[in-house]
Amino acid sequence: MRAIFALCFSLITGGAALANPVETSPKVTLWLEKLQHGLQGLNYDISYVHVRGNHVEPYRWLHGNFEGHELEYLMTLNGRPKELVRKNNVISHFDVERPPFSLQETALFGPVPEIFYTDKASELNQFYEIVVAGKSRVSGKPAQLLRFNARDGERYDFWIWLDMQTGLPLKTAFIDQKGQALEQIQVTSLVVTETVHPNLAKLHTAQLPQPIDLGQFSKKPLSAKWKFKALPEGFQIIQSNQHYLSRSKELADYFLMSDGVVDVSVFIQQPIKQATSPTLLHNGATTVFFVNKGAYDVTIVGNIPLKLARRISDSIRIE
Amino acid sequence: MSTSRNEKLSAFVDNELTTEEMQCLELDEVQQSTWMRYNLIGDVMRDDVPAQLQFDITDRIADALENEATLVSLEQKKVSFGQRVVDKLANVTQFPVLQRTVQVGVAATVAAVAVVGVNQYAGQQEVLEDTSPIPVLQTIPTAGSASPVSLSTQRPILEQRSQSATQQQQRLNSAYFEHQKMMKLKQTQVEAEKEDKDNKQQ
Repeated sequence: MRAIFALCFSLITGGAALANPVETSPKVTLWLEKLQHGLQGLNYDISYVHVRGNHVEPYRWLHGNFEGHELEYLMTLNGRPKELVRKNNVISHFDVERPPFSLQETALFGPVPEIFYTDKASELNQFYEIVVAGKSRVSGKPAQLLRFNARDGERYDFWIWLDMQTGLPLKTAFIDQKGQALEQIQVTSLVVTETVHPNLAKLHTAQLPQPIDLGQFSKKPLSAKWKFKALPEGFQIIQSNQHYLSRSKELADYFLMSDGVVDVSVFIQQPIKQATSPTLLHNGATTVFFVNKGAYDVTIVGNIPLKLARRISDSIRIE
Repeated sequence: MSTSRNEKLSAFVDNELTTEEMQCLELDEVQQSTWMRYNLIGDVMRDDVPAQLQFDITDRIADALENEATLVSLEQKKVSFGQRVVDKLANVTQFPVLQRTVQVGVAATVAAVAVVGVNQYAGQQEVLEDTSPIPVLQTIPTAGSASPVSLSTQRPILEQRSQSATQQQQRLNSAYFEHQKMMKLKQTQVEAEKEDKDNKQQ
């Protein structure tokens, strides 16, 4: 009798699991909502360091809501100052080496993937098992770890530690299959205030450059009917065109794909004679993989393991 | 650069440009330095110059170094060894008397280099094929390979090789930066495409 009972139970639960394989646990949803509301709704002043291999880059990051406007500010602290200012969905770039310009964007290129600014973060559950893991002390504050474990085991895991009080990020890391952190962002100070930071309030009245219409940089269609035979699950092509790369001035067929956590660029170009193929570059979690495919060269860039980069390059076909 | 462009640049520095004109002002490197000079001139005229002017390029160099990604070449061991041998030999062969004797020597050495090189390449290939996500990382900023057949052809081959190696490195660096740039522009593109679709539907 007990066996039948157990069988029934397992059938019910198994059936439920099959019918709803990607249901997000309420605990996860709660934390993701807290993160989203924290990122968008609070007035905060954060200092953090971005650790990539041997490179450490410190930043200052301010955010606030003032008179119905969302204001955000990001500045590099080492070397030549580079500053980003966001007022609602217009982001202005400042750099002494070039004239300032503005672009229309919805999320500041800060330390957290854009998806966490939206309510779509729980959809990542399809491709990443989202686990509310242990509590620990990070940046001097009690923190809750959320682990995004790649379900296919082919991409890096993404870990994010949230301030238990405010839900703001205190640390993020890309972790490889050996459990080593390849790239990390570590908050060193986090101050949340009732009122907006005075400097941000000043930005509200400052005159910022008019946003550039990107439509004027119209891009050409691809030179061939490229087809990816099998994209890794969850990756979607969000951009494809042909354009000249800004540094080397070389023409490339270009694809940008994303699974929400990581972005991957694919460049298909004229082959270089006698190039070393395949070649691999690493910078933190970023892989640059170059391979010659006979009539064309493929370069893949993104925060993915070499194996996945190789798989993407192997799946390219001409229709 | 034309004078009218310089004028525009100057007007831009003095905040006398309209937005449309500003958008036409995409600056190349020369123009950028002109732009900075104009700013400096403006500062001098407005008495805005700091007590001590700093023409400091160290942080720009540091910046460049920092952005340089780490290159792992599969053939890099072979290169460094082969190149060293070839360079040494090139020095020796400055003396004509030695040339003939060395030529035989070169043939033998090259054979040895080739064998060592192939072995190493095969070894590294396995590393790349391996399921482990990260092969051993090394910071050698050059790529390419040298396998001279005889003295007479060794120079051109070397030059050709190193040229393609530079081109390849430029391509990789450029792809790396383009990726960073496209990630920043991503949001805009998605929005724009959405708007496109909406427009089409209407």
